[in-house]
Formats: sequence, structure tokens, C-alpha cells
Amino acid sequence: MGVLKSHYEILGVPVDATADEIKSAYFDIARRLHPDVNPSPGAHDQFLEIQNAYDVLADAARKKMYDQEFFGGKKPNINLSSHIRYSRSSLIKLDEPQLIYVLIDVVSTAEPDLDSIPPAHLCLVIDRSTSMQGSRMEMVRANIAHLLGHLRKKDLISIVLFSDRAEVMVPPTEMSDIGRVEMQLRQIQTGGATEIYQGLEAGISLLRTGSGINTTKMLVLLTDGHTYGDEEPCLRLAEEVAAENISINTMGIGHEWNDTFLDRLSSLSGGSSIFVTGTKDLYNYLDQKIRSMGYIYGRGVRLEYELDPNVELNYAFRLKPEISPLVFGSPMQLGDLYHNQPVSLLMEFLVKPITTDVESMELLKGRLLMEIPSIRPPLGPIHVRLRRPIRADMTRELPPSAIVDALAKLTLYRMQDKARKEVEAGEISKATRHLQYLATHLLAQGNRELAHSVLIEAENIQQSRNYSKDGDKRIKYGTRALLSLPAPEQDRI
Amino acid sequence: MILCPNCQHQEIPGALFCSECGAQLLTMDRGITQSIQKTPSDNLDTGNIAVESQIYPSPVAEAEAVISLHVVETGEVLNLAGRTEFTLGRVAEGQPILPDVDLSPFDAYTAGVSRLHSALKIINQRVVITDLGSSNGTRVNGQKIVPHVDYPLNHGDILAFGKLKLQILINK
Repeated sequence: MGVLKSHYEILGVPVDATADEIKSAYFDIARRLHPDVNPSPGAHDQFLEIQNAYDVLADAARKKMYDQEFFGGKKPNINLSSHIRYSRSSLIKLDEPQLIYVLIDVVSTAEPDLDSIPPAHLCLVIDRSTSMQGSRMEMVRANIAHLLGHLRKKDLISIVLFSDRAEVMVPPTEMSDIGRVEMQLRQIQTGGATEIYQGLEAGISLLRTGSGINTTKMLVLLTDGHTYGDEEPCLRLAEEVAAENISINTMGIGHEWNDTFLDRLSSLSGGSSIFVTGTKDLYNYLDQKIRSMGYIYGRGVRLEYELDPNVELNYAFRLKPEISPLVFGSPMQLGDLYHNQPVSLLMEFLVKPITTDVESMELLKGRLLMEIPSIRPPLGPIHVRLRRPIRADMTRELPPSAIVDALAKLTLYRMQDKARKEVEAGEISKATRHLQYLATHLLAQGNRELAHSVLIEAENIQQSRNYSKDGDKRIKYGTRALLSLPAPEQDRI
Repeated sequence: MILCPNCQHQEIPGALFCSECGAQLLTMDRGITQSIQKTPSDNLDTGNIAVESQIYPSPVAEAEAVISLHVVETGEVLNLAGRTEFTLGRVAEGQPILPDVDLSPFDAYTAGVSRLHSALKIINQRVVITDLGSSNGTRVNGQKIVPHVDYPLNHGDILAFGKLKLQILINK
């Protein structure tokens, strides 16, 4: 079936593109396809098509008529904008590698029509292995029973319990039938080992089959243990479901769970992970998850990209809406976009020595894609091009404060990461030194409590050559949480 | 390469923070070491807390238990306010963590005060002291206290950090 492309799609601009964006997109393509420079036979027809699209869209009156016709009189209300900030205005011609930081914000400013936000299906996958017995399971039970009341009427909940096998405790249930769920919660029995894959698979199959296409699907895994030998299949499953816009979120309780694994598991699907140190963490995290489901604008935001061969992506971190290190590789999963809250992404690029005379370099060329349930026909991608001019000399300039601010905190997070690797490698004195530096910065920023636990860990490492039982996780998630503290909103430009 | 002014670690041009010590590298000219604005920790001037609270007595602080320290030898009084925890010690070169109250003006070094000696805390309207594992110990009314354990204080108690004696004054 031949689908007629819209003029917007032909030019590769979003439906809400400004006149300037349309113009520059047109010139970009025209330069490549103009019959004078491109002799291939298809180019001529394509050029005419683009010319035609541009003629319509560049003329305000004709554009209006076209929009009327194409969108059936009602142009979807798309207010999606992206804002890109660089740590420097240009690259430098340099015979050694250099770094540049880029902060990308994508925000929806559309007036939320909360009633039209599609239903959500939340699947809780709960570890019921022997170690969860007692207060841990009690905490889970009490909080979930309480939080269920925050779901909307049209939302679905399902609960899977797992140990070395999985069982569906609550099949997808509408909120109107909540009494039964509460009853069942009281009957959870603990016992057995932890095999995360079992639980994950059961949960995902519920999400796949138990809810409609338009439903927002979210899985929350809660565990307190190491999983045995099934990490690989779990990660593959996460990659698979990312394409179906199912996000996996993970919560670890106690000191035995594998945070590196759970971090990766959630990042692969655009979710997040937290360390539950007490009932408050559990409540706040789930509460926020449940509330956010009612504010979803776009699902499965992802960045497909290519890097310049001379550029490497060193690091990518999502700062908002939820903090998470990102697994990079195209496409990069960024999770969901909520109304009035940006998806904010910080990247560190390493640029190899620039020795030839070129005017500029395109660090990254890519497209941001997402599924926006409220918009039909689907929105085209947002093009992202990170291009910087190259100069011979460095000019002094101050990087945008939002970047400096985020990096100040990210540096601390990476420092604990470093210390942790050093402890693993047995480099105790290096690790201690890094933890002491970390504590100094934390104190300077007024985080006395965290600084104190970092110092205690530093001492601990010196004595026992290892972290105390949950010290490494405490510091990791503690420094990560710093990034969620409010940062200065906008730079003065 | 650029050098971190704080720890001399080599960083790639364009880096904004030192990956080794976390110091901010604000200007980024290549090749040369720059004089650079250091981390905020250098500005953490803790010695002046007492003075500030004298000049600006905040109404909040007055509502809570306000602690003063009377230096027995010199007769000076240090007022502590605005927080619920104060670390006491002496500021020395290259110290990663600075105490809130610097006792070095009172010959703390010769008296045997550690860099982080003890902490005074206000917990539920009670004032307690904790020795932070100091070399020469903390005494309350002549009695040596166990390190890292909170010890309740009353108005007028005499504290000894090494040989430096301070009397605690609690104004409820």
C-alpha cells in the first residue's frame, strides 16, 4: 500500500517546525539533490518533490490550507522542542584529543489534557525468595497496598512473584477491582532462591498479552538478591522489550543484590534503578512511578545516531526525568517524556586530534524518535545534529552553567565509580584517596551525612580492603541522587 | 594536556573537572597550567561561625538551644548557632576535611587537639559530645569519654580536648 508522505515528512521536519527550520532543512536537502550537483536519475524527481513540499510550507497561506487538508481541520497540538547546549562554542584545531560536553533537553510544552492520556499497565515483579522473609516483605506489602489507591480508574495492575520459578499472583486487574488485590497481597509466602529471569519473563508476557496496544506498559522489579547465571538472558529480554516501549525499572533491597546488573537491565529499556534503604525510598519511588504514568506525553524516547569517525562517545547520562546512566549504542533508550518536564541528556565526546583544515565537524548526527499516543498520524523524527565549527585558537569562554552544574555532581558520581573499581583491583590507597576527595567535595556542597559515610567507608577500606556490606551502594546511589537536586533553570544567553 | 592546579593530574583539553580530585578546571587553555578558581571547599571558612553569629543573631537560632564555649585559659567565649552539629578541631595544611570550629587560635596544636577532635550535637534539645577518635582524647569534667559514643552534657561542664579546656554554656 503506497502511503502518501506528508510535506513535513518529505522535508524531514517536525509538524510544528518553524519557518526557519523548514527553510534550512530545504536548503540542506536541495544542496545534495540539486540536478547540477547530483546527476543520478532519481535525484531530479526527488528534487521536484522537495521543491513542491517547500513551496507549500514556505508560504504561510498555502501552509495553512495544506494543514487543514492534511490533518482534517485539526492540527495536532504538538509543542515539542529541543534545546541543545555545548560546553564550548567551537572545537580547536589541536594535535591531541579534546573533550566537549553536550546537554540536550527535549520538552513538551503542550497543555496536558489529562483525560486523554492512555491507560497504563503496571506490572510488579516481586522477589519472594527466602531472604525476603519478615520485615522486607512486610514493607513491600504495606507500601503496595497503600499505593494502589493512587492508580487511575482505567489503569491495570498485575503482580508476579518469583523465586526459582515465577507465578502470577494477580493477573492484569482493573483498579475498580482493587479489593481482591489487597487480599492476595496478604497471602504472599516466602521461600526459594532468586532467579530474576523467571520473574521478568512472566511479567513481560503479562504486559504483552494483558493490555491493549495504546496502553503504557511499565515493569517494576523488586529484588534483594543476586540472580544465578541468568544475567545474559535477562539483558537480552530488556533489549527486546525496549523496542516495544516496555520499560523495566528495578529496585534493590539490602546489600546482596547486584547493582551493576540491575542498572544495566533498567538502562537498556529506558528505565531507572534505585537502592531501597528504607520504607520511604520504596514508597517515594513507586509513588512517583505511578503518578508519572498519568502525565505521559511520549513513550519510548530514543536517539538513533551516528558519530563522526573521529569522535567517541565517552559517557551518556540521563539527568531528567529520572537519573540514570545510559547504555550507549544506537538507538539509545531515553525512557518516557512527561508533560512539562524535560528529558535531559548529558554526553561527553572525545574528539581525536584534528590536524587537517576543516571548517566544522559533525560530532553526532541522529534522530530522536518517540511514540506519542495523543498524536495521529505519528510524528516524524526530530533531527539532532551536533555540529561545531573548528577554530585555530582557543577563546576563553564560560561553559553554560547548567552543564557546569551537572558535571560538578556527575564528577562526584564518577569518582565513587572509580574508587569502586580500584577496590576491586586491590588498589586500596588510590581508592582511599578518591573517597577522601569525594568527601571533601560533599562537605563543601553541604552534604554532611553522605560525606560522613564516605569517610567511614574510606577507613573501612583501609582496614578490611573492602567496602562495608552496603557501603558501595549507599555511596553510589547517594552521589547519584545529588544530580536530581534542582539546578539553575535557564542560562542567560 | 592540561594540568589540574590542585593535584597536577593530566586532563584532556576541554575537560571541565579534574577526574582525579574533582577540582573545577574553569579556564581551558592548552598546554599551560592556569591559575584557576578552586573548588568551593577552599571557601568553607569555618573559623568565623562564632563571630558571625554574634553579629547577626538569627531568631531561629535563639529559639533553639544555643551553645557557647568558654575558653577557660583566655576567658574568650565562642558562640555557636545556626546548626545542630559542630565539629571541633584545628585547621592544618592539606587537610581534606575542615572542622566547623577552628581551635588553633588557642594554641590547639601544643595542647594536643586533633584536626577533627570532637563533635557537639544538639539532639532533641539535649547537647551531646562525641569524640571523633582523637589522638589525645576528650574529657568531660575530668572523665575520659569513649570515642564515637554520644555523651550528654550539662550547662557548665568542663571539656578538655587534649590539654585545652573549654567550659560549655547552654542557653535554653
